[in-house]
Amino acid sequence: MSTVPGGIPIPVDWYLYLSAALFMVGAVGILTRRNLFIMLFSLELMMNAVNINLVGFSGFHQNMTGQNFVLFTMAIAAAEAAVGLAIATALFRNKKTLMVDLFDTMKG
Amino acid sequence: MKASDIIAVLPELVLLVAALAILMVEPFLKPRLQKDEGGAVCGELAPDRTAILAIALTGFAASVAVALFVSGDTRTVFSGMLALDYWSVFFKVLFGITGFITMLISSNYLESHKRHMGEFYALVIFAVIGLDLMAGARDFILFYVAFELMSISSYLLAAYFRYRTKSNESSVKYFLTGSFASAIMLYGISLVYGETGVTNYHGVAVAIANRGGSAAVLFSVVLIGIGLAFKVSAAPFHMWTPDVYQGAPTPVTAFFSTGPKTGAFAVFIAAFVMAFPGAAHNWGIFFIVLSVVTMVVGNLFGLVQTNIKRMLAYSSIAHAGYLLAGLGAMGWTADTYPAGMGVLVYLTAYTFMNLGAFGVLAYLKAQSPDKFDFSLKHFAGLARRSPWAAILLSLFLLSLTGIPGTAGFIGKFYVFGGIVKADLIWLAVLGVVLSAVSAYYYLRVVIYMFFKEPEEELTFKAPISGGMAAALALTAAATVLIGIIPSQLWDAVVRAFGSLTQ
Repeated sequence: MSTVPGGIPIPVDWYLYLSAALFMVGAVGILTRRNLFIMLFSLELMMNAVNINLVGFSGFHQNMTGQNFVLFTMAIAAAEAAVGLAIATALFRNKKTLMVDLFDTMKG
Repeated sequence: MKASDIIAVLPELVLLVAALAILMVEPFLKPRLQKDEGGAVCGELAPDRTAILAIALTGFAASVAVALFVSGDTRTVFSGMLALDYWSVFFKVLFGITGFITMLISSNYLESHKRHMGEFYALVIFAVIGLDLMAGARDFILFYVAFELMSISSYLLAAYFRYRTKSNESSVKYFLTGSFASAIMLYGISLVYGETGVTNYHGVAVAIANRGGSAAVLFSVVLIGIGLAFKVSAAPFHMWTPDVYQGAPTPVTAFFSTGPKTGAFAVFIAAFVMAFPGAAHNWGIFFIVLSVVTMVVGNLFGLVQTNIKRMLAYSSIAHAGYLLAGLGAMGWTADTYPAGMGVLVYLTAYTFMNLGAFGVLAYLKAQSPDKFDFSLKHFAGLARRSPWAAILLSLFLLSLTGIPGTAGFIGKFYVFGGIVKADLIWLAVLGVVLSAVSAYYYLRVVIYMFFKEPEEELTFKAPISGGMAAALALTAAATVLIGIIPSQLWDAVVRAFGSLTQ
């Protein structure tokens, strides 16, 4: 159970609600939006929702494993964003658009 | 951490050194001078990159040798994060061979597309390091980091022909679905940590056994399962597979269809058997449902394809279905041995025959990069133009069908045998019937190659040579040998699976 400086405990389920809400915003964003940048933002939102979960649980269990995990997740999210932006750049040079539903040369 | 723990990651360190050496050596290669008819220098060509290929091949060979040398020990290292046992050695050797053959296929192909560069080799090596660590991981943190190392390298490999729209498109589809899936999986892992307070597979199993299962555990098992199901391209999470396989460079497709898939199955077995033995029946049902959908979708969509690369993509979906049926049988009964070992045999057989089939496609594409587009009509009369390619491709396709005497038959035999032992006879019957259906789309290609007249003549530059020949010889030999004398492989599989479950 984490406490704020005033000593009021924050129940662990509050973290869960926040992270579930953020995760759903991200997931819905990926499934409905068609601009590659918005989809990348949504992806970051999903990863960071997980980070809130991990930090909340880390406080709840009184061990540091969750917070260690967050450091790895953040590094990986950064790497993923870098690769995503690189792919977006290469794509824009060829197609002059970032709307992913216009990439449909392969079908069947 | 003890100094002796380093021994467990020696194969990966060897690979890492090879990858870094490639990146270091590449800038210092001298461009070849282009000479006109009189012998005067008139321009510069890209440098000869044979040295880089040699470093990569040496790295993989050394990694496999080191992995075999350190085997025999069974312990966990780095405070329970990583295992050194026959299981991890089995997969390190398999991934090392996959990487080795991918390198051999790639060199001719990249040369003929004028994109022969060191980064390609380095990225494949990084992906293989990720795969090695995935199979050896005994902790969700290490598993996730290794999984992402493999995935991020794969996204870049799919985009390797960055000036080509198809390669871009393939990579953006792979990137979006892949990272969406890994975010879902990560959410599942965070719930496991929330439920148990630990991330170690063994610790998770102990905590769940003490506290009893709960809805949250089942939910997180399903989320992790979905994340990995994307990677093995199980239906209904297979939508990206045909597009990515078609658009990515062919050697990369060969790697995608074997390496990451095998790695995801290794994690499926290791993580689910070790961390969630209490929920085994539930994840068994999850996999059975997934496998039925996957087998049906893969085989039925395979029937209507006219592009062979796409057809092989659907074929790889169907094969994931047979493997998932094996996993379902593992969860369904308390005795995980028969089906689990069947899955390992199948993964080995599948690695060789699929690398071989895509290797032949890469060879054909390297011969005429502009005209050949893998459509069925370009295979007409191939037997006369290039008999060896036709014979080898027929061998691999027959093996994928599961004709006795080939590796594919042995794999199917052990997996379906395990499913029958788990009292899931209907599932085995469905699998066998659908493999009979698959014979239609595999044998159609063989008929085109041997009995059809070509509509237009494609020009072919040269007979199979060098690395490509070595790769195809290796895969063909393995496909036949596993088909005729599977006992060596079986012994290795028994030891590997035994060290996981003891």
